[in-house]
Amino acid sequence: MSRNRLIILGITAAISLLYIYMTWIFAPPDVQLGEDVRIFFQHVAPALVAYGLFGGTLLCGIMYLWKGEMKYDIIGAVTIKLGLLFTTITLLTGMMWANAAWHSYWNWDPRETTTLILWIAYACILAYRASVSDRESRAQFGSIFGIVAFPMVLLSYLSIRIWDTLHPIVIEPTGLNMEVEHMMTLFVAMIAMTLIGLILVDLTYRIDLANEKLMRIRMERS
Amino acid sequence: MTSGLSAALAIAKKDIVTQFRKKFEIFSMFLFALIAVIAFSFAVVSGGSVPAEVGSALLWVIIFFTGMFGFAPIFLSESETGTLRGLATAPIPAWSVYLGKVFYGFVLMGIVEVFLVPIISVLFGFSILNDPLLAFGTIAVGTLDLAAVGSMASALSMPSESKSTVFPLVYFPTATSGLMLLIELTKIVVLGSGAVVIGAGLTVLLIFDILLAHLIAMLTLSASVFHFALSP
Amino acid sequence: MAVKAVETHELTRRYGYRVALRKVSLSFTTQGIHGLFGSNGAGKTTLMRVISTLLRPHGGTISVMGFDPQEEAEEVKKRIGIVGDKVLLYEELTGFENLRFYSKLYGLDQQFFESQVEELTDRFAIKTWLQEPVKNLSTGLKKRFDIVRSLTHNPELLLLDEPFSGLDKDTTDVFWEYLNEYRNLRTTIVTTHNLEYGAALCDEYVTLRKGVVVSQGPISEFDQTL
Repeated sequence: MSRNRLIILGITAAISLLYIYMTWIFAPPDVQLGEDVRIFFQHVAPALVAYGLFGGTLLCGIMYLWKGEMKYDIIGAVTIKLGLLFTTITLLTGMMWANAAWHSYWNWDPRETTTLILWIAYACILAYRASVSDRESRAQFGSIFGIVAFPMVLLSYLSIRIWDTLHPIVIEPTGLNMEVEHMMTLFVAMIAMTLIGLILVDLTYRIDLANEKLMRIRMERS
Repeated sequence: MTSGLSAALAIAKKDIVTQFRKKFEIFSMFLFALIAVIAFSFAVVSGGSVPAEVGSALLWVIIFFTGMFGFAPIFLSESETGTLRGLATAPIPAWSVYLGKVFYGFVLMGIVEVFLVPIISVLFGFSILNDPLLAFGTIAVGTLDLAAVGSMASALSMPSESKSTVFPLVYFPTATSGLMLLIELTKIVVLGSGAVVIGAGLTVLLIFDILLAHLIAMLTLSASVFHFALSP
Repeated sequence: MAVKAVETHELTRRYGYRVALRKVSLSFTTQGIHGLFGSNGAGKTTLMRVISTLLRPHGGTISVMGFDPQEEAEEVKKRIGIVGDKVLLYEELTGFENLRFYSKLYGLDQQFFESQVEELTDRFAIKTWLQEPVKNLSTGLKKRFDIVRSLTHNPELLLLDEPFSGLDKDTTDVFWEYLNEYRNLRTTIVTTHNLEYGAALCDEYVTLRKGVVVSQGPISEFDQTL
C-alpha cells in the first residue's frame, strides 16, 4: 500500500472518529425529536454520497463512450454498486427516522418513493449488465444506460419540491434550517461519509480490475 | 440535418405501414390494455365507482404497461430479422434512426390511446375535458416521452441474452420519472388545480415544463449516444 | 491512382477478451474481385463488419476508399453495398416498397432510382414480383431482391459475405455472370469458406486463420491444399 493511501486512510479514520463523537455525544437533543435526531446525520450524509456516486456513473458513462477505455466502465460499475449500498443505508435510516417522527416506517412520501425507485433503477442497471455476456457490449450499452437513467436522480432530488411532502426541507434558499451544532455535525458527517465512499470506490475498483485481468488472462490462454 | 429528418420520416412511415399490414399487434395491445383495466378494477372499485384521482392515475399506469408491448419490438424485431444492419449501413446519421423509431412509437401508442383514453375515462368515471388544452398537451408530450424512452430501452435490450426479460428492466427505471409527472398533471386536469395540493410555489405550468424538460433531455441524451448502440 | 479500396495496418478487434482480428495488415486494390478465405471463426465476417463501419476497431488503422470507416462513416456507407447471410428486407412490404425505402435512406434521385430498378430487376428476372409482399416470395427470390437492394445505389465497393451459401443454382448463375461483367468496373470483396467457388471467381485472395493473415497474393499463386 502506498504512502498516500495510508495518509488518506489515517485522515478518514480520524474524521470518522470525530463523526461518531459528534453525532452521539456532541450534538444536543432536538427540541421536538429529542435523541432521535441522531439518526438524521446517518440519513442525510449517505443520501448525498449516493447522489454523488450516481453522478459518477453518469460521468464514467460519458468518459467510456468518449475514450473507449475499459477502466471507465469498471469505475462506472463500481459507482453503481456502492451507490446502491449507500441508498440502502439511506432507506433504512430513513425508515427508522420516519418511525420515530411519524410513527410509521413507510409513509409513501414522495422522497421515500423516489428514493426507492432510484434504488430499483440502479439495481436494474446491475441486472441488465449481468445479462449482457459480451464484455464490449456490456461496457458500451451499460454506459448508455447509466447516462439515460440519470434524470431519475434529478427527479428524486427535486421530488420534495414538486410534491407536497412530509419530508422536512432542510436546505432552503435562505440557508440551512437547523441549529448550529447540528449543522457542524452534519458537515463532519458528510466529509466522513464522502471519504469512506471514495476509499470504497478505490478498493472495489482495484478488486474488479484484478478480476478483469484474471478473466483476460484466462481467455487468452484458452 | 434535413436529410436526417427525411430519413427518420421514411423509417417511421415504413414501420407504420408494416404495422397496419400486420394489424394484430395494435389490436392485441389494445386488448391487453382492456384486460389491465379489468384487473385494476378489482383492486380499486369500491361501491360501484372509482375515486377520480385513482382513475386518472391508472390511465397512465395502463398506458405505461401497454407500452411494454408496443415499444419492446421497436428495435428487437429489426435486430432479430437482421434488417437493423441495413439501417446501420445506410448513409444516414444514427440519431435519425432513433428519431424515426420514436415517431413510430408515438403514432403506434397514439392510435391505441385514441380508443383507450375515452374508454378508460368512461369506465373509471372521470373527465379530462375540464382543461382540454392541458389534457391533450399532457397526453401528446407524455406519449412522446414514453416513446422516446421505450425506443431507447428496446435498443438497449438488443445485446442482452434474455431480451424480453430485460426490456422491462430498462424501460421501467427510465420511464418512471416521466410517469410520475404525467400522473400528477392528469390529476390536476381531472380534479382542477385548486383541488390538488402541490408543493409551495409550484404551478401547473412548472410541472408541465419539468415534463417537457424530461422529454427533451431524454431525446437529446438518447440521440447523441445512439451512434454507439448501432456500431458496438 | 493510389487510393486502395481497402487498406488496413495492424488492425485489431476483440470480442470481449477474445481476439477476432490480430494485427491484420492487408490491402485490396480498386476494381477486381478479391477473396477473403478462411474457415468459420477465422475473422472474415469481423473484418467485413469493420470495413462496413459496423464494428469499431480496437487497434491499428483502416481506410476504405480513402476514408476512415469510423470518423467518416457516412462517406464510406454511401459507397458500399452489402449482401450478407441475412436478407435485409422487410417481410410485410413489397419488393418495390423495400427498394424505395432504401433509396430514400440513400437519398437517391427519383429518376436514377427508377432506371436502376428497371435495369436490375430485369437483369435478375424479378420484375414480375415487384408488387408482391416479400413474405410471399421464395428464398431464392428474396435473395435476388436483396442483391438488387445492395446494388441500387450503384456502390463503388461491394461486400459479399458468403453470398453463395444457400443460393439456388439459377440465382448463383445470374449473380456470377453479373459479378464477372462488373469485374473491372467495381471493387468486390467476397468472403467464402468454399474454396472452389473462391478460386474460380477471384483475382486476388487473402487467407485468414484465427484472426491472422496466413497468406495473400494473386489467385494464380493460391494453393488449395493449404
